[in-house]
Amino acid sequence: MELTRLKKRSTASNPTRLTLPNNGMIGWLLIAAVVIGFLLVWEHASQTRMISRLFYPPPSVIAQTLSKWFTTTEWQEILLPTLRRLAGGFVFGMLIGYVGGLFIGYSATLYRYADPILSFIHPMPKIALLPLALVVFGLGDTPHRIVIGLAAFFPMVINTTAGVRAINPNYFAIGKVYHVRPLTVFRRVLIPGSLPSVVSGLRLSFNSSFVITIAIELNSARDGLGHVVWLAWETMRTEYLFAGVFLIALIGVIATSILRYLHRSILRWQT
Amino acid sequence: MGIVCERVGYTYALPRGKSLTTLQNISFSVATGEFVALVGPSGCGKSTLLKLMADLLPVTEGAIRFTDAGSNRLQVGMVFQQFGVYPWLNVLDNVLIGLESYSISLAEKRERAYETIKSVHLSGFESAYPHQLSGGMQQRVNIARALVSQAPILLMDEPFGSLDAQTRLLMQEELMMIWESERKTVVYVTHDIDEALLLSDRVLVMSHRPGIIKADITVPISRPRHLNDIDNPTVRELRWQIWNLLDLKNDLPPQTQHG
Repeated sequence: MELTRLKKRSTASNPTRLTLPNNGMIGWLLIAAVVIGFLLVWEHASQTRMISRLFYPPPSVIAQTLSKWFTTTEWQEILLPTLRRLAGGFVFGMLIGYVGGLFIGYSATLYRYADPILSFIHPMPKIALLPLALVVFGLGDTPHRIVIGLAAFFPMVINTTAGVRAINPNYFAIGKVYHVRPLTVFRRVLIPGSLPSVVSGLRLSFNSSFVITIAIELNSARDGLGHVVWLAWETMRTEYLFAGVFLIALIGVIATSILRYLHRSILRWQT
Repeated sequence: MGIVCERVGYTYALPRGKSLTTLQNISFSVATGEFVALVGPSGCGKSTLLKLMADLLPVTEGAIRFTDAGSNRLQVGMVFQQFGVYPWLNVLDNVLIGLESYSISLAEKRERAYETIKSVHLSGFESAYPHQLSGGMQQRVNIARALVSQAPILLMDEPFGSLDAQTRLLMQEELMMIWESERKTVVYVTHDIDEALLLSDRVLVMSHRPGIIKADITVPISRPRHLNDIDNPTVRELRWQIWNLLDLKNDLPPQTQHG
């Protein structure tokens, strides 16, 4: 997080902002130095048994594990199922949440009925619904995707609704004054006007469904990163554990930067 | 096209069966090509009256009619004080909204929009976004949209209220020039007495709770006007007459009077 923030500041177009000269480069170097230094100390301490090699395997061993996953077909049972589950649930729940949010935000009547229900279910940790989903949908991946989808749905529907409702009434009044067709109002007012809130909803939605994906895998899947990490703990294969956690973090970082990029490119009209 | 308001009232429902009357028994007419200013303290319902004319709110009492209704596609164009330009659309697209209901080719729409943008001195800014423009320029976009729509009636809700004093004068002067050349029927809401006197043929003075029209004053300045035309004894006296009519002192909340 701090990494990207530093970078952003250095490339910001506003030259009046108080910043150290060239701090982007210095920041990167500093961070790289700290990380490399930490890894070297860890490597040395683990190799010389200053710390438990069983609990804290040397980074080189973790790196070897990672490269083994990706040079063989192992990644197809580790990384791929997680991505598949996540994508299936997230895309589905997010899209339904988005479309639902547009309508709930636009229609006062719909909002009056939907809001109390959504507000009631939203704060609930969606993982608590997993057993129920297993009862209703049986074993297999369907209940998983449904729960992941629900986790994606709620932040999205709530943010989209809020985004639509936050659109200044004048923007709709202009549409009415100049007899703009409803479909055009949807396209030119509703969708762009709610976008700032929708984009933050998208980020929350991804985070939420990613957390649930890993939680489900820890708990009740037979493949995927969460499963690997849990199995590694049970069998004390800590290099698997660290490698798995590293990949989980990496997915988060990559997704966050994609969404951040999206945010910046979509919302160029904001100051 | 002119406007006739006959005993117009506006009452809206509050929760628990209560209701609030913000306008009562408002009758006046605006002739075709006339510039009328509505002046009143904040909260007197002048913006509500404008919204009723624009059909943005339903008239709950009386009626509003347009006279000499021609074959115009749109009857009213509106200029808001704030949130009048879409921040996510560039200047051209913002202006084009005024032509959304016209069934003419996009090329023709763009041509008309370019022309109107030129007439409000924004040429070259067609692809700029509102956040890149000053407040005055944003209001030019707002006005351009109303002009391009070719609506014969222009409803303006304190269009220059949030501009700095110098920009406001400049915009007032330009609005006068636009009005001279287009002769639209204008209803102009403001709480600035000088602005009302400078721009309008008639000033309607309103008071509040519920809003009524207290006076209908004809401004004795010939056209075309200039910014210094309001700087003469007759108009200055008129200004104080309106000020007294507004009776702002008696509008202070009771606790202030007692305290």
